[in-house]
Amino acid sequence: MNPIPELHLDALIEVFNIGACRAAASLSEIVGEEVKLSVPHIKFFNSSEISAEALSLHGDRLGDVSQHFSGHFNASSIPHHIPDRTADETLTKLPSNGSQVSPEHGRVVAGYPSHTGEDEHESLHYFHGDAMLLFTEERVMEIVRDMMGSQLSIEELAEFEQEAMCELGNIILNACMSSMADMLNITLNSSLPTYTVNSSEIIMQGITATATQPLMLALHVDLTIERRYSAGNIVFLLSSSSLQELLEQIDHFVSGI
Amino acid sequence: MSSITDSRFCEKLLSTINSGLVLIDAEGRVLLWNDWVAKHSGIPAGLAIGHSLEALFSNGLNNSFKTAVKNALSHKLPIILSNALHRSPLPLYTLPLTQQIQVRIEQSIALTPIVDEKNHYCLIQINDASMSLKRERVLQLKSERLSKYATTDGLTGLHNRRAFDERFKAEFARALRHNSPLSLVMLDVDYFKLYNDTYGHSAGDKVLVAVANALKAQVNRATDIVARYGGEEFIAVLPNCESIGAQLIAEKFRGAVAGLNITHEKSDVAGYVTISAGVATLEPGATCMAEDFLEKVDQSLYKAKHAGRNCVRYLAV
Repeated sequence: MNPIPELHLDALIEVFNIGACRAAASLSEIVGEEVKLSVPHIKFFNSSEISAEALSLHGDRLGDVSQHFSGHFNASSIPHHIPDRTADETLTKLPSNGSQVSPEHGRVVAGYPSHTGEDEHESLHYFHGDAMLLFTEERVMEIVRDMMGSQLSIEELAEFEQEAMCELGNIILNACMSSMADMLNITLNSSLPTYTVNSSEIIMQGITATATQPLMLALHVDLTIERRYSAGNIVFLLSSSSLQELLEQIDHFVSGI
Repeated sequence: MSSITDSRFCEKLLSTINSGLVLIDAEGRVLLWNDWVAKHSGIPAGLAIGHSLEALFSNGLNNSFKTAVKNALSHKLPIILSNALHRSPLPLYTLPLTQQIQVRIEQSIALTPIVDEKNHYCLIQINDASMSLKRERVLQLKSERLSKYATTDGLTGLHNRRAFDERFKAEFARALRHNSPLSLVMLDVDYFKLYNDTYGHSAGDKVLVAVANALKAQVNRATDIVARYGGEEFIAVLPNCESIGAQLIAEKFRGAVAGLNITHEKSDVAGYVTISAGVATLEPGATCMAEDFLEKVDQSLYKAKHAGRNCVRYLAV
């Protein structure tokens, strides 16, 4: 479903894959092993139709790391320079035939005129919302256990390891959000992450109940750790005021070059 | 009287807080270094302010921490450094610092960006995670003890060794008190190791379960218990049971297992799984130590083995 027909979905995916790369680099450093993250696809949902099934989250219990963010973007201007991509932010995109492609993008300078402060028609759009990373409890524990090099079983996983799950979510959320912020050349503020784990029903109910916006963006995140690849069961969910405009901004920026 | 908005009062608050607070500027230089951090690092605020953390802790900072600070300052998003994944990123130690063996504090850290119109900063909050870890360990230990105390043998569902030990102790004391007879039947699956070698451990496990069920079916008094004593050894406690009765039950055990007709081609005794059983009875009025009683039933089992297996032998205590 693409509620914003002008959007080039692959352009958006590119932004989030950059984020995924950043997150993978942080995680690899912590774990001391190669961690790979990628975002294969994007979906849009009406907030009312969000459900665990719709998100392909198959598990009795879900973990939810959530950060509330806010920021301003300038709706009538397009950023006039690209923030530098570091050498290791090579793009890993998975085209539909499943093979891995790693294009390396050189630095490009956009030739758009910059809007100065004197333009009276500019408006600062304030936006805020929730960025959430959802995992099945089983999956997140597997990941945390791998990260800690631990042989503990699910029952033995102590409560303090929930903090680790919170950190895992925080790393991925920050990477995706900062990638978006870089594209828009804006500063985002965010709350510290909160982590809840509960039955799938209760988590999803919480999300739909508190959703203040009609539209949500969902991304599946594939994570490979210690060469153990397991797709699915991690979902990045974004609910934001002005989501449509935000996405249009990003889209114009990425695909217009 | 100073107001609570007085900066000196705020400083007092910061020095009273029981967790670490460090404020760094956009270049990573320390602007604020509270008492808790000064105490646990051994670096007073006077020396810390104006310097970067890397300069202050030249040996002590790992890459993950440095990357986290860098990210917090550039992206201005809050970061959690969980204790589970990072343990002790900063060289902070338990007091007194002068003790011979310095113990690094387990830490739980949050990096919170603070942005105002002109500048941005990062607040580093450090919490001592040792207490929660201690709690976790205590709970873990308790739960392990509880598991051990559980009285059921996982494989067969019979009472386990610990349950037997407790039960036997109790019944033994009661028998002495009441001058009542007490019998023990100890049994052992014949050539069990050979069975495992021939048919595999999985099949061996199935045999143990089948034997356990056969034994259980022969006792119907609530006071009688059958327990798994060892790998392929079982033991029955029969309170108020005299020697003849005990030997009869032992023979029922033997017959029931033989009746299972589980093929055991390598057995020298029969082509199927059999047990040897030893019986010992503490007669009313007799006294001995509990260990001697167990020793006796062990001896009677030994006798049964030596008598060719697949049989019952009895010894009086």
